[in-house]
Amino acid sequence: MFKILKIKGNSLSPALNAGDFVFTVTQFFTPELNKFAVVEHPFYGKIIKRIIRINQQGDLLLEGENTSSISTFDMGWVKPEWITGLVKYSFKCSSTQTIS
Amino acid sequence: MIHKIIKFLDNRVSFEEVSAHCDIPCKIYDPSPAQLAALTVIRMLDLINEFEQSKNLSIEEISQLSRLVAQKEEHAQKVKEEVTVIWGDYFKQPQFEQFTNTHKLVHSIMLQASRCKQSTDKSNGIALLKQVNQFAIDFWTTKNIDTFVATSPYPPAEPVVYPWLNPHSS
Repeated sequence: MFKILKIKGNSLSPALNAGDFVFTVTQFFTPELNKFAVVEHPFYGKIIKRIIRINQQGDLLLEGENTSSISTFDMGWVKPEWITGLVKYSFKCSSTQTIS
Repeated sequence: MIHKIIKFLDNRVSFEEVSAHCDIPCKIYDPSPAQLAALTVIRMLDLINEFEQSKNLSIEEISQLSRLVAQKEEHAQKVKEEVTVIWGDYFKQPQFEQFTNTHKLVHSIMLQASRCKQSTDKSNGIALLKQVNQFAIDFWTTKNIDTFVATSPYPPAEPVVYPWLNPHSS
């Protein structure tokens, strides 16, 4: 239902940095644009990225927050069943904030 | 404060990690080193072929010729290595689906680079550059970056594919 995850890597910096924690909903969620999604990607494994597009079939396109991220093109269309959680809150070293 | 509490808990129970996944360092791919190496092969072939008129080479000239041949072969090998890395590390299923001819093109580049090693015929170098240019077009297209062709502003002054990149405004 809920899960706390620890961020590894800096491709979501400055929104999320390595060592930050995120509070995620793992069930009964609806993917929304601009939210961070936790995805079990068949090639890249368990990753977290921002949702930038959702098509009519519910497939998603994801994006990092800076140029060090793997690209949207490399990740390809992400199937809804690959999404294992949506981020509701982040707990950063300096402050706690709601991710929008 | 909350972060500290969660971090304290993390030290006890180890929360699962999720990767923001930076692709560093292997995200840095660019076909330009392969293109420069192909240009170098052509340049070396030009310089090597200048010796064709000479009947009796001095020791100095023989040394220079040896160096040119060595550089030609080294850069032909470099073309192979640069193209292989992009083909093997950057290209994945979406790119292969976009350019279904990629395997054939890369194999053809390997063979052509070998021909450049084996001969002093300039046309082999020109053919190599042409194939590497095609590879560059495909590569940049997979990144949704347009390309243009311009003559290299240095010898051997052959056509080279360059990416259209947006300059910074400042």
